[in-house]
Amino acid sequence: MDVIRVIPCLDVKDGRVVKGVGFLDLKDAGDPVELASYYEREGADELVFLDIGASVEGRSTMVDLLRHTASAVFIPLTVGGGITSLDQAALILHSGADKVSFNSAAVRDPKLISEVAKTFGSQSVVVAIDVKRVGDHFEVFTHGGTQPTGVDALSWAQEVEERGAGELLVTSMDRDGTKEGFDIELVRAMTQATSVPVIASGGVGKTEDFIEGALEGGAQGLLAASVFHYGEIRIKEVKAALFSNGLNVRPVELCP
Amino acid sequence: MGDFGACMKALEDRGFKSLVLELIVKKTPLLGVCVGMQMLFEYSEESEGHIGLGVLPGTVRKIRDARRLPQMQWNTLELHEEPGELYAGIDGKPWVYFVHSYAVTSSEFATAFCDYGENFVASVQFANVFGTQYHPEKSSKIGLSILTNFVAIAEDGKL
Repeated sequence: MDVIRVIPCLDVKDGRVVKGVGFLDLKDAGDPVELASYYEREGADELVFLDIGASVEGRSTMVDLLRHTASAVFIPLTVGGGITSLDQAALILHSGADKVSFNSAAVRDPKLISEVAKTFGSQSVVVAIDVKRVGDHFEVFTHGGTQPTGVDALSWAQEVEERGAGELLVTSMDRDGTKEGFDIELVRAMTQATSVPVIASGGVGKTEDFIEGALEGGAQGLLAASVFHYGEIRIKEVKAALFSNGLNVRPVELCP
Repeated sequence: MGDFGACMKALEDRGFKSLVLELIVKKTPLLGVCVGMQMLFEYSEESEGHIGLGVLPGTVRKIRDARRLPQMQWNTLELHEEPGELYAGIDGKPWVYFVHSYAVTSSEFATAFCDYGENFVASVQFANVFGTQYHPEKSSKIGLSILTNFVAIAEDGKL
């Protein structure tokens, strides 16, 4: 059967979790390992760590953080943010991550996707695509949504799938931080254009937004950050709502 | 994790293939996870020109009729009537985490099945040799129970 995944995203800077509104205004929200265990108990199906510091010191903090998390938390971990080479991806995967997520580096050097997919398998390669509406089309933005690339998001999604990406993490930069719900047109366009799993991200504010992302957007994974971090919505509420709308989810009562 | 052919080649290049086979024959408990389970079989559609360990008969095929590949999600197991020691204390339809595009669709050694577009073998056991297509190490509490069972089997030495 097809099962929807609910995925909290932890923005990490210097070993701490932070979540900004619209990627800018940062606010400390806790210890990553504790938060990861908390989310495993809450019923998270996977976790995403996004390294928003992405400095050299940040990278070694991430390795430590992963080693600690992977020895305490037994659900899949994806790490993204500033990973620019096969060697860095290898270090992240060997430290306990199950998947690495590429964003700006993949746009700059698409061969990186094929390289990592060939070495570690497509299942370990996520391509994060940050999208803004520009005129009547969806455009890929990089560097935290600050730099336009002129690249069409749908053709980019198809290209990275061909290059071996096993999953797409699609963030609407227009919706991120707004709590107005996913950009459903974007999510639907992405799921229709590709055949790998798609994680929808950016904009969730209420439980209904998750249902819409799965039912109307067709997403396989639903990602959110602040609504979970600040306890505005519990994962069990999301799963109950998805289930009562005819979607399959892993029940929360089975979680440790 | 990785490509069937690349993983077999890595085993062969490092001289582990004959060692693994030798240990299997000596009844050492072995658990193959994901492509590790697939490598117990003879062939895979993923890598023509490579042969597996051939401990179990059969060919690994790309999953048919799936809406999305890879299957990258939690899914439930349909346990065999007698699924064996690996599932001691586990009943009903346990939820486990899968990441794969290829699978074996039938095996006389199947101990659990899973449905993702088509029905495939989710785990196998033949004497001291175990395989799980899913990742017990990523399957939270249930996965840890399965790994604990395997450790208990290995410590017991009774198979």
